[in-house]
Amino acid sequence: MSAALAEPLTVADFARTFRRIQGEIHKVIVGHELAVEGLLSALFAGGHVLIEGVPGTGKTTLVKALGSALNLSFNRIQFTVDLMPADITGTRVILTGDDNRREFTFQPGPIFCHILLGDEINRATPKTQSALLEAMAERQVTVAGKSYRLAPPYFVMATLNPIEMEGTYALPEAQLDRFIFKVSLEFPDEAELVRIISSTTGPEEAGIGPVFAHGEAAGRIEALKHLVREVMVAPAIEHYAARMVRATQPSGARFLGERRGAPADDAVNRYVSFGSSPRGAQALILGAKVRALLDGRANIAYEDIDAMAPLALPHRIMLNYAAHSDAVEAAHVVERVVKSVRATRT
Amino acid sequence: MLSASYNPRGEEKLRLILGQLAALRSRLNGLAFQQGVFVGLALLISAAAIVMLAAFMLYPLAFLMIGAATTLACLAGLALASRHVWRMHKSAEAVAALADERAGLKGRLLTLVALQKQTARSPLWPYLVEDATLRREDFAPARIERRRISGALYALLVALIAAGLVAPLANHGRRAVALVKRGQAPLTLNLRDLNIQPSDRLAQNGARLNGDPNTMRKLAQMMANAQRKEQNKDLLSKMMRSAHDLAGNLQDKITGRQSPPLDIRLADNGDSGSDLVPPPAEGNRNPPEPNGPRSGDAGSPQQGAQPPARGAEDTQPGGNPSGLAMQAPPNTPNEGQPQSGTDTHPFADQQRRGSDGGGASHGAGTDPQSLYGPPDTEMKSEGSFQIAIDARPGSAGHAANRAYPPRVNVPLNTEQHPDEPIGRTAVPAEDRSTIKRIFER
Repeated sequence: MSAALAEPLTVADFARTFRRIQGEIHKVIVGHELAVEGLLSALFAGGHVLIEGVPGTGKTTLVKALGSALNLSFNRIQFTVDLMPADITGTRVILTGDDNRREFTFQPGPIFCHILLGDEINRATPKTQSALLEAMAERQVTVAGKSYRLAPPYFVMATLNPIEMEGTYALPEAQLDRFIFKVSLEFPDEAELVRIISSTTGPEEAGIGPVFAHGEAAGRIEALKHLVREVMVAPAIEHYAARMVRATQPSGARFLGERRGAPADDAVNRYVSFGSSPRGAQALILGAKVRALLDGRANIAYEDIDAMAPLALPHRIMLNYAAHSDAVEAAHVVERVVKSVRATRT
Repeated sequence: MLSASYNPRGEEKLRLILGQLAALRSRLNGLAFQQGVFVGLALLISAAAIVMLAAFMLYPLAFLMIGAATTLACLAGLALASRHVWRMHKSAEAVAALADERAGLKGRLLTLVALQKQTARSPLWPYLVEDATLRREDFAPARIERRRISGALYALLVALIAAGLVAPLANHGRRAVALVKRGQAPLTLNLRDLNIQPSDRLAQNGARLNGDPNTMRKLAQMMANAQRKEQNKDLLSKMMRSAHDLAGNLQDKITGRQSPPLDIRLADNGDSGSDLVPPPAEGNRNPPEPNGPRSGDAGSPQQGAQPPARGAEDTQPGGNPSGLAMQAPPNTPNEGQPQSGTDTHPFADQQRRGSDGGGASHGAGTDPQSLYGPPDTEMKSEGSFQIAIDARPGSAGHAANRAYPPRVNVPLNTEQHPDEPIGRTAVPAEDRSTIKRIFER
């Protein structure tokens, strides 16, 4: 542990570091303020993030910018239908040693890095997608019966292309649930587009200065992640988050059993076939903790939970056919849920 | 490593914050208590004023309905107010959450209050305490809740004003009743004129009856008959009568109309053998007044001065142990009234005076040529005529009396005589087969 890490981190340190990283990223990313904040929140909350956006909205640029700002190792995998699990995890190859003896040696794949960009993850087969799952959840890779740890901080950003859906394998709900947030990169407006043009077509490219020194980046980020976990939560607010997650479940859900709570909102009953999992509540609380630190607080407020719901819940909600026919999106359902649960605050 | 340095005065600061929140909690709960008391008093006073007003202005059954509805509404209101006050009562955490919301403290106080008893505190706890201490001014009790007196005080004031408006009316009514009581004189009633009905045994004021032994014996027989009739009535009628009696008694208590027992002297001036129990609506008999004498009745000035809807209908626990009430026709002669010298029959007397009841008494057996006296010389118009009708609404509580015809107020001429009821006679034997054949057909 370096000398810099020995210094105690404060709430102000967190906010200052966060804003610096944000500033560096925005040197190359025009607009997308909420997406960048969501991305960094996911990083410090210790989760992985799913980025959705049409081609050309800066998904890959965003991830590269993050890697450069954090001064961490960065890899990119373009998922295709013929990509095999070993292509991303690595495999055992026969190498000849100094003594001319040949032996199987593990050759790490591109998954071994700090920041991984899985581009168009829905184009890979489920088998390959599941190989990424273990790495995301366990932060380890198992090859030929032997597990290899991934160096912290390990942060996966997967992109989804909402168009060109032919030949894609939609991510199952279990995989979607592993992403703490899903951020959408909206198509830029005219002013943002002009700024993108002028900043990317000139003779000079914007340079991103690293926020951390090369050797201490991982340690600093881990310390900041630990600080996030120390943020205090009143039991009433934990109950509030739990109520919000339960409110995404339709009233007739079988798995709720006898523990049904208050009747769900009409929109939930009508359009949702399966609501958020308990991971949704964890995501709400962790995201709210990051937001509280950014606001200079050591505690979570109800408002933090409300603010994180649109990032943490929509991709965890399975809509039914009625929703598709009525063109209702999960974000709309979450909005209704937040509104109805807000009325139950103590 | 991560925690901010712990402030040794942190516990003292925490106590200051919690003390300030306790003061705020006292203020909020005090307001809740005030609201409960004020709303409760306002409801009670309003309900009392409404009942008092209804007692003076409404007939017994209407009074009973309004009174019951008001009482129920008052009880429901009290229950709702209690529930509301209970919900307004704040726990320490609820007060902290409220202060957070009103002062924009974003959960700082709620977290402090909720986690203060935890032994393993976060390294960020001192930061939170310090942060909240710096914002103490923001959640001072006077800033979070300015009121010291609940706004429900206005509801109480409005109720008091309403009661203040009703009180003079009540006093006026009571004075009027007291004047009537002073002018009350003993009554003499003819046994035949009484419509005897069972009444509430719990009635407080009744009448002291006296008369010669023969009359009292007949009275007892009439009471027994009335009791039998009452037993044959349906349950609804009995309940309606009980409700009417109850309402009347309550009304008397509230308005102070409860008069001392009347001294009634009973006389038996008619043909007692033919009709010991005068049926209420039989033949051409004058129907009994459902609510007793009314103030507008001519010929009975003393009873007319009594409050409406009461009169001789009240029970008489002392003088009338069987719990029967008497109803006298409106023209019942009494001592204070000029009596007929030649014809003591009540119907003859009333027709001679031409007060009311004439039309109802006319009918079979009267000379049709001079039924309504000499024709009026002053013709109103061609093909028209004039009849004065004294129509009165029946009491709502006496369903049996609703079908009575209106009284036609036409005086009889000197040659007319009041109708006499046709006595029952046996059907002659030679006519029996004819009558039987006709009715069977």
